[in-house]
Amino acid sequence: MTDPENTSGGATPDSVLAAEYVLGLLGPEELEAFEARLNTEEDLVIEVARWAEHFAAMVDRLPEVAPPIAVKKKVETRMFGDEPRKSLFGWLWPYAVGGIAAAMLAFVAIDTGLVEMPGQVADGPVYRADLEPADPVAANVSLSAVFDAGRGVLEVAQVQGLAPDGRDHELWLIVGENAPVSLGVLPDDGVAVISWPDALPRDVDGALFAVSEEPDGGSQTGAPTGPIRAVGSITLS
Amino acid sequence: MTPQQEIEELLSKIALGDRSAFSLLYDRTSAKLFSVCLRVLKDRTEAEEALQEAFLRIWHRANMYRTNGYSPMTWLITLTRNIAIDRYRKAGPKASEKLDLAEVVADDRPGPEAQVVASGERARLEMCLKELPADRAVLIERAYLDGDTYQQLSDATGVKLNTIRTWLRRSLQQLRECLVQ
Repeated sequence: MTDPENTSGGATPDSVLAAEYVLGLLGPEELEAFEARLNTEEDLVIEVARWAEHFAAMVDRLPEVAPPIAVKKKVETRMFGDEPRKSLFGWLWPYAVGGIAAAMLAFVAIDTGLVEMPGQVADGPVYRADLEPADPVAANVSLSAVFDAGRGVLEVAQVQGLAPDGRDHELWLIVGENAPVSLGVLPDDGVAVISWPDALPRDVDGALFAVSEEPDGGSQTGAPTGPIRAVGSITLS
Repeated sequence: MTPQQEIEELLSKIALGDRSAFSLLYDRTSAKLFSVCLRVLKDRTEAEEALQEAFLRIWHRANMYRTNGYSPMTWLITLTRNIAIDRYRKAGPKASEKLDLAEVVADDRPGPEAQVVASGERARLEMCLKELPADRAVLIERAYLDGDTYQQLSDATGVKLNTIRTWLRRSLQQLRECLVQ
């Protein structure tokens, strides 16, 4: 005699599979098959997100417990220890390392005369960088940048190579091994005056500027998505 | 700014390597996420390790947050819960706490006051869980909050594995029908 509770009514519906996936109830084979489908079936991805959202509401029942203070310290120590994964090398590696090395040697500050520093009243340090193609074969983009740390103004002039139609050049600051921080999309006429974001350090000696080619309007992700077209190290003027 | 917007903003800053945003996010969310780890792992030291791992992953993957369509808190909870469950399961099979389904009664669940306080998503889920028989809802709760597998649920309740699976799948189906209403 069959236990009526045991007879499953045919194939498991996708919405139930998605719930089992979120709960972690799928066996290894089912899991593999389901994850393969997630790569191609958008509806399934949405179903998974919906269940995750519903179930997460259960967490509100749990009493919050503050972890010991030492845990935060440990996380931060490990975070900085893990940093090489986000190193400049990691970010720029796909874009021709040789080119970067060449660019980094090319920083003998050349005053191109394109960037004026009107009313040089600031008493803070002034930094310069010349950005050269990361991959000289693929691009001929070069720029000149002057950062007046006292006034908090960065002026950038495109020496050559504007972004192709429908694409934009975006400027990034890379301090040490931190992830690139966007300084904005460069205008089509190639000259930009950017007011330095308060959140960023003004001591940028040894940091890098990089320009990536992005979709119109700039990267949507907060990180460079397109090829790096030019890069240059920042030095005290 | 709503708490949700605030966490969202912190995540975008963290994606750019902003350490002070990370510190703030930790302060805002670690107590909730720690409760998730504690519930799954049932061991303080293990839970602390899992929490560390979760925050390291948040630091490295904050840029992925927008790609999966989760709300920020759900993203954080899901990521943390997955780490805790992986850790729990890697440590080898364990018997989970006994569960006598005959003793599960609807009263175990949040009372009317809690329902009033709970808003939106939570109220809806609680309401739909309440529509299920109490001894079925508790299986879903065990699977989500404790990370129990079908095998563990079967062992804990003494109900056959296939039966547990069928019950749970049916309950999930019913829950889904209630949630989309």
